[in-house]
Amino acid sequence: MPMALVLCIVGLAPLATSINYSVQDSFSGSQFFWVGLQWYEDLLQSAEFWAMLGRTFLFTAVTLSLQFAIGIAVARKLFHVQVRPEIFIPLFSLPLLTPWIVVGFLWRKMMEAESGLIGTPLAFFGLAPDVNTVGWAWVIIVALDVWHWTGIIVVLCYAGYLSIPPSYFRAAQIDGASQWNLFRYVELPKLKKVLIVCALIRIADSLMIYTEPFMVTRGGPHLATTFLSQQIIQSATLEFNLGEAGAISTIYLILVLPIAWTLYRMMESSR
Amino acid sequence: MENMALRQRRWSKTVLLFSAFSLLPICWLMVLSFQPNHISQRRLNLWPELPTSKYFEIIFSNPDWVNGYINAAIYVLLNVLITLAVALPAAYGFSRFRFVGDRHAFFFVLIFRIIPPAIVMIPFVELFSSFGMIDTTLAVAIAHCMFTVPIAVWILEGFFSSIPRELDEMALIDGYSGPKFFFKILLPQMRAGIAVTAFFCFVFSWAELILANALTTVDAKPIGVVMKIVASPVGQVHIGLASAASVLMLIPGVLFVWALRRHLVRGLSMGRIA
Repeated sequence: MPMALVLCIVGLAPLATSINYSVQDSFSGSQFFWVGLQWYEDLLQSAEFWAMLGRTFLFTAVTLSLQFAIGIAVARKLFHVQVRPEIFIPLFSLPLLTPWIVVGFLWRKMMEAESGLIGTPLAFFGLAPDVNTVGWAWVIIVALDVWHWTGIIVVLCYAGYLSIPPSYFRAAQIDGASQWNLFRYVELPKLKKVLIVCALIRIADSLMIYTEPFMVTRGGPHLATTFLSQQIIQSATLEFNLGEAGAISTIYLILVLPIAWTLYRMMESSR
Repeated sequence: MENMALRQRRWSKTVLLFSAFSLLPICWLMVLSFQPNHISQRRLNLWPELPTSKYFEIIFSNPDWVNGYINAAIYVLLNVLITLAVALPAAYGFSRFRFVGDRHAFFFVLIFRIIPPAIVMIPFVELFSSFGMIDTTLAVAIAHCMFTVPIAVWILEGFFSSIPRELDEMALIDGYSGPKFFFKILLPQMRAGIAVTAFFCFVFSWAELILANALTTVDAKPIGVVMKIVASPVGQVHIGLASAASVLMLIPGVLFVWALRRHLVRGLSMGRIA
């Protein structure tokens, strides 16, 4: 326990500093003066801020639904019909182990119309991807995120399937349950906890995505793929606007805490 | 899985498709790393044309790249060790003792996982520079702990809780003192749990870049940062070098998962997660 406390302090100190920044303005980076809630007022009234927040949440919603749909489907097949399912687990973790910067580089290259793995076939059909249009930028980043993170959902759901007692399936078989009913009334309730865990991990990571869109689109075209983390880093390091960065961080935490708390309670109660 | 005994196991199309989706980009990355630049820029190949290993030779002959590689390996290893050292006792505490507000404290530990690295980057830089620790691998390892310890505590707590409390009592009667009991009896039981935890620490620490970049200047630069300089998204990207470096960055991950593969699946299905 003392060790855990020490860690809380290491984690809390930067957080407090960040909140502290949010109520001050910095002058040449070293002198601070008190501005109260000025940053918050500015932000909450700025359309750009809300658009950025909206984009971040929309991105999370889109990628998470895709990842969950694909992840559960693959895990189900893996469990029910695949020969030697265990050899696929290391395979599926490969994208997870790819450093984020490599993922960004790789996907940018893949989309090139002349020599990219995906870009060339698409260009053949006259659908050359163009990072400079809003639609393609989104498609690429969503595809990238699905490629990168669906593996973890497959792995965790497969583990979830393994922990369902075989008697449940035998009972369902005797009752002659259809595949859909088996999934809906037997597997889904049993997987609930795993799915909440996945959601908790993925929501947190997805909301803070930074490296990949930065590598692929640099947040463009215009601001179409500028997400929360990038905004914070830009404010803090390029514009040296620690106050604004701190305020964005604080608002983000206030918004995310209830989500996390709800999921946590759901997880506790399903134990 | 006797339930499905009636149905023959076969190769599932969904699984194969997904494997292709997961693996093709990585295979293609390898092709790029063995192929001269002028060809990679002009056409798409699924097998290296005019194969060459010159990009790997460039990387291995440049001490900056090699150092970056070693730095990353050091801080990941440090991070896994620190995380386990901190999280094991904490998880044991959460699992065995009831105290006021323990559920809330547990959630409190978890929320550190939710804070984006971007938020804490500047404070971390100030904190570590006031201790004179900027540009050390230890600083990066400690900074990453903020994200790996919560998840580690959480996973390990599940594993500790699945070990019956009677084991503690029996060991006590047999005369095992605290530390001896912990290392001789409890830890061997936790092998799968430790594997799963190490996996999650590795995934985060190896792949994270923002903090590693912000906390290092010259000596302790990880290879990802070096790569960012060479393979900057604007301007001319050196495809061959960047892919060769990427392939090299993948290898430790592959080795790591391969070493843990047995414990991983078993561990995932019996602990907190499932």
